[in-house]
Amino acid sequence: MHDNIKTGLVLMIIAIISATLLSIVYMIVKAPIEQSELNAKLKAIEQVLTNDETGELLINADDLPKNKETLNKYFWNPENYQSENSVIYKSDNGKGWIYDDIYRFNGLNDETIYVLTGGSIGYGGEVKTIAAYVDNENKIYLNAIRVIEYASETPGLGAKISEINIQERFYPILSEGLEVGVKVNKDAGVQSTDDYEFMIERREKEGIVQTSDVMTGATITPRAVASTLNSMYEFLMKVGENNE
Amino acid sequence: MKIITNGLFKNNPTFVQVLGMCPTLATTTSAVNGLGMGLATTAVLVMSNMVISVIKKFVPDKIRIPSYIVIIASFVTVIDMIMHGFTYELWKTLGLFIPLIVVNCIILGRAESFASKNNVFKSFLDGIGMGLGFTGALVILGIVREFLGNGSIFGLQITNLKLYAMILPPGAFIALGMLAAFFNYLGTMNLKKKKQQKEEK
Repeated sequence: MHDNIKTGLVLMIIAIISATLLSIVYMIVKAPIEQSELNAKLKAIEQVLTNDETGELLINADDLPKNKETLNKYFWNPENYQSENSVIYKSDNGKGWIYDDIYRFNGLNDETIYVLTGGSIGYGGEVKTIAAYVDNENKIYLNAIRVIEYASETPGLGAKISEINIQERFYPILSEGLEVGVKVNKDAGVQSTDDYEFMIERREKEGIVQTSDVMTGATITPRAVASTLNSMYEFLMKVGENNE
Repeated sequence: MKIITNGLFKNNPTFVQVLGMCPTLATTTSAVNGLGMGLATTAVLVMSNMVISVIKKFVPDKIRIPSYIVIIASFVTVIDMIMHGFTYELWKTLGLFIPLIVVNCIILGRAESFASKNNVFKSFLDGIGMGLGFTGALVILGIVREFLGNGSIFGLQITNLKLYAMILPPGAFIALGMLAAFFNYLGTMNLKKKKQQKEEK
């Protein structure tokens, strides 16, 4: 009996000391963690709001959010949609979902720009993507994307989605391409091409993203990004219909 | 000094004791990942070794394993939070493998076989030696795999060599096998040399 009490007490003391240590460390690193998460998000937002061809921002440089307060100014909560566990919309085919941190910016030419964060299941877990869609007189096009979470993807294969030159294969896509749906070239049943102009045209107008030449052996991860982009477009179209 | 070199060479946790194979095989797709994982493990190993050495007299024998695991898990969580806050990119790359340091058998193995029997200073040195031995092994493995699989070392492009299999799990086993054989060969040669020197004397 005495031994059991002693054993229990020792374990309790170790657990209490460990919990105290963790609480203290958490209190110290909480702010840096939040800051690094925010910095990564702000960086991704700036990148998706940049025209890939010209390198110029789609919004006024002064409007670019630089901290949490300025970012929250652009927070957009669409009518008739309610957030559940931070997810505001799930696609009709169930393959992609949109998170509730949606931001709306005014472009330099009075167009509306939506920055959405969404996810889909890749090879090992969720692949999270942030993307900017430009609504120009009810014609929506995809400006740019950044894949921000890919930790469960296979290193050297699916995890190559982290490389910017591979992400660049996904944008821009015009409304014609978004309308028929974004898909990787393997799913579209077309071979990869060395003709750069043709590759761009096929992506912009038919939504065919060529990844088989740069991500050999990994189709599931780029497919997850394509599903996320399709969910985002589907969501924006539904929001637009509701507003009409 | 002998305690440190013991972990670095003679009893290298990876190539000699063949411990901690899960992170060794999974995180060495590049030299940077291997280095990050190795240093994180070293930090946990040093801290847990020291604390276990301090509390060894107060912990009853039958609850030593759960006690050690609680201590190790606490330090792993501390390292995870610190890396999340201060080395965000590396933290993102290593992902799930940081929390998995808890189940790295090198750490529990050293707690059981060394820290629970020696004083704080010796346990500290053992943690440093074993940790650096583990880090060195991971970096070497990472360099070999990154070079053969991607033609680069620490991200610096050297050749156009792209043996993708080396970055994939089979490549990890092949590279580890080759390196273990190489270090085994060096060890055998060293022993032979010492034997010869003794005979000559």
